[in-house]
Amino acid sequence: MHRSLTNVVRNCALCVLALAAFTSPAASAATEVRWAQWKTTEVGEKTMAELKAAFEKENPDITLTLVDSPFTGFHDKAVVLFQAKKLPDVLLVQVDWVAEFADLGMLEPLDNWIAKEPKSFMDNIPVTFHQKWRGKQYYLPIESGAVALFYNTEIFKNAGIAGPPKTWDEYVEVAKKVTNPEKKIFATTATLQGEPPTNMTYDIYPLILQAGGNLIDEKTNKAVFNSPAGVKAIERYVTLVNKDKVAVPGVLSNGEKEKRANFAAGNVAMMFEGPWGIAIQKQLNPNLKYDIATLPAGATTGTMVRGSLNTVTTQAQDKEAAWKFVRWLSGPTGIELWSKSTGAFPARRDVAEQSWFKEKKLFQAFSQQMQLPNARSPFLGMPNAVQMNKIMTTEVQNVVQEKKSAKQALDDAAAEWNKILGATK
Amino acid sequence: MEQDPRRHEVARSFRRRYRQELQAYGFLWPALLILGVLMVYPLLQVMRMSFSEVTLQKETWVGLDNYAQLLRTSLFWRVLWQTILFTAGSVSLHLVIGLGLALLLHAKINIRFRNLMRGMLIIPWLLAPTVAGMIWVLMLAPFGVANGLLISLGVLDLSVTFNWLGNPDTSLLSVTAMNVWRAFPFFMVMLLAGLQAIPDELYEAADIDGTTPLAKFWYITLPGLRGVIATVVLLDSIWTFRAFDPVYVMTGGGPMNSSEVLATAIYFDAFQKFKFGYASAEAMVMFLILFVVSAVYVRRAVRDIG
Repeated sequence: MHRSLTNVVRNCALCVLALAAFTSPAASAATEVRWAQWKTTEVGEKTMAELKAAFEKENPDITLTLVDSPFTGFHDKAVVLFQAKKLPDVLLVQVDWVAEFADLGMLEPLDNWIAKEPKSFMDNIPVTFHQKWRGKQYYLPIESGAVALFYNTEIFKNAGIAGPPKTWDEYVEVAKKVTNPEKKIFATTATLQGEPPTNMTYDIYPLILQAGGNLIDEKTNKAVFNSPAGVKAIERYVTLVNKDKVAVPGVLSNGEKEKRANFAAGNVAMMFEGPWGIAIQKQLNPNLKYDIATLPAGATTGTMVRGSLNTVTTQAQDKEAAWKFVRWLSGPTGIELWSKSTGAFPARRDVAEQSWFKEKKLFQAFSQQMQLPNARSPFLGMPNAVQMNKIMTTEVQNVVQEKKSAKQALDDAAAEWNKILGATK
Repeated sequence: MEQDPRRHEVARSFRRRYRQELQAYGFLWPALLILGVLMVYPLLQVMRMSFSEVTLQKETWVGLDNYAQLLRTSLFWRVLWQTILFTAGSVSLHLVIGLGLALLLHAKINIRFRNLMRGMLIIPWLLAPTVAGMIWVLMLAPFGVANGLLISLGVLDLSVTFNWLGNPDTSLLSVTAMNVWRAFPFFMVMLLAGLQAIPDELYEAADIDGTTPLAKFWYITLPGLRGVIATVVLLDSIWTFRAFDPVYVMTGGGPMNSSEVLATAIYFDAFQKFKFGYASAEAMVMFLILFVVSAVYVRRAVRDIG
C-alpha cells in the first residue's frame, strides 16, 4: 500500500515536470504555421526543406510545417477540411478556386495587411494578380505564367518561314503554309476535349481577348463574351478547324495531353502553352527544336494568366504568423528562391528582371506577354470555373459541329454563365 | 422480489427452440452492422438529399422539386436513353460473343490449344476498366491502330482520319465496343462452365435420332444454359447500367453529352455543378431501376436455392 502510494506521488511529480517542460517559454516561443500545398510531390522534399530552412532562418519565431497532398483531389480535400474545421493556416490554391473558396468563407481577406506594406511590394506583382473578388484581395501569387506561342523551328525552316506570326492574318498564312496532311504535319492541335475542360485557357479565351472582347464584366458581374468581338473570335477558330483544316484531326477529343504529345513528336508547328510546358517538352522530347514567342495579336493582344496562389485561411490558428509566411514567399526573397529552385516563372517583376532569369532565353516571351495589354486571369472572378469552362467547351463544340451559329452558342453559354454568376451570394 | 416461474420457463423454452437462429444472428450482427453503416446509411442520406436543395453551405427542403426538375430536363431523358442503349448493346454482345467463344472452346479440339486460348481470351477481363479504356483511346485516336487497320483494308480512304471518340455519332458506340471487349470473357467462362454441366448422354441420344447441330443447340444446349444465361445477363445488366469508368476515361461523356450515361451525369452534377440534391434525385432513379433488376435476380437466386 505504502509503495503504491509512493509510485502515484512520483508519477504525478513526473507529469507536472513534463507539462512544465512542454509549456516552458523556450518551447512555446515558436508559432507553428501549417502550409497545405501539393508542391512537395512535384518539386521534391529537398527543395521544400531548403525553402522551410530559409523562411525559419529569417523568421526564427515561426516553425513552418509542410502539409503535402497530391494535386489530384487537393481541391476537394480542402473543402472537406474546412467542413471539419481543420483547415491549415496557409492554403495554396489555383486561380480557379479563389472565388469559390472565398464565397464558402474559407479565405481571409489580405487587404489590411497589404495596406501596411510598401507600395513596391504590390507594384512588382503582375497586375493580373491585383484582381479582387467581391472587392477583396484574398491571395498572393508564388508563381505565374501566361500562355504564349511555342513554334517548331524545324518545320518553320523547312517551309521557308522566317519567324513566328505576329498577327492573326500572319498566323493563318503560316498555318496554311506548314500544314501537310499527307506528311501528317499540321499547324496546330485544336483542343476542345470536354473533360477535363481545361483547354479554354489556351484555345478560346485568349482569342476572345485578342478580338477585343472580354469574358465577364467586373462591374455588372455578367458574361459579356457574346459580343461581336467574341463571335468573331469563335468564327475564326472554327474556320481554321473546319474550312482551312490546319488543325490535327480529332478536335472534339483532343486535350492538353494530345496537344503536348503532338508538338513533342514534331507533327505540329505551333502550340499555345504556358511556361510549365518547357519542362514538359524537355521530358517528352529533349531534342525538339523550338522557340517561344508572344501570341499573335488580333484587334489587340491578349492572353490567359494562371498561377499558384497562397491564401490565409479563416481557420488559421495564428493569422499574423500565417500572413508573415505568405508575405515572405510572395516577396522578392521568397519568389527568387522558389523560382530558382523549382524552375517556375517568377510572380514578381523585380525577380523576373534579375540577370539569372534573363539568361533563361525560352522564358523571355512569357515576360513580354505578361507586359502586353489584356494579360488577364478571368478565372479569379469565376465562382465555379470548372463548370463554366465546361459550358463554354460544349457550346464551341456545337459551333464546330455546325449545330449552332457562333452567336447562338455564345448567347447560350452566356445565359448559363449568368445563372452561375447570379446564383452566388 | 420474486420472479414469475412461468415467465422464466417461457423464456427458457424460447431460447431452446430458437437456439440455432439466435446463434446465427449472433454471428451475423457484425456483417449486418457494417452493411448498415456502409450501405443503408448512405442510401438513406442520398434519399433525404434528393428532397432537398443541397450546396456546401446549406440544405433546404424542396420536396419533390428535384424530381420534377429531372423529369423536365431533356438532357436527363437523353442520358437515360443512352444508358439503356449502352447497357443493352453491351449485354447482348457480351452474350453473343461469350456464347460463341464458349461453344468453340467446348468443342472437341486439342486440349492444350483449348487451354491456351481460354487463358488468352480471359486477358481483357483481367484489365482494370481505366487501363482498358486508355488502351482503346490510343487505338481509336485519329492516327491510331483502328483507322490504320481500316485504311489498310480499304474501308477508309487514306486522306480520311476518322475521329471515333470525338464524333457525337460514334462516341457512345466506341465506348460500348470497348466495354464489350473488356467484359465478354466473363460470359465466356460462365457459359463454358454451363456447357460442361450438360450431360453428354443428351447429345448422344440426339445423334442416334439423327438431330441436326442447330436442333441440338436449340433443344439441348440453350435450355441447358438457360439458368446461367439468366444469371449472367441480370448481373451484367446491373454492372453495365451503373458503369462509370469506361465513359469517364474514354470520352468524359462528350462530345456534347453524346456519350453521357447516368453514372457520369450524377458525378458531374454533384462534384462539378455542386447540385447535390439534383444529383441525389438522379441517383435515386438509377437505384430504383437497378432495384427492380436486382429483385428479379434475387428472386431467381432464392428460387434456385429452394
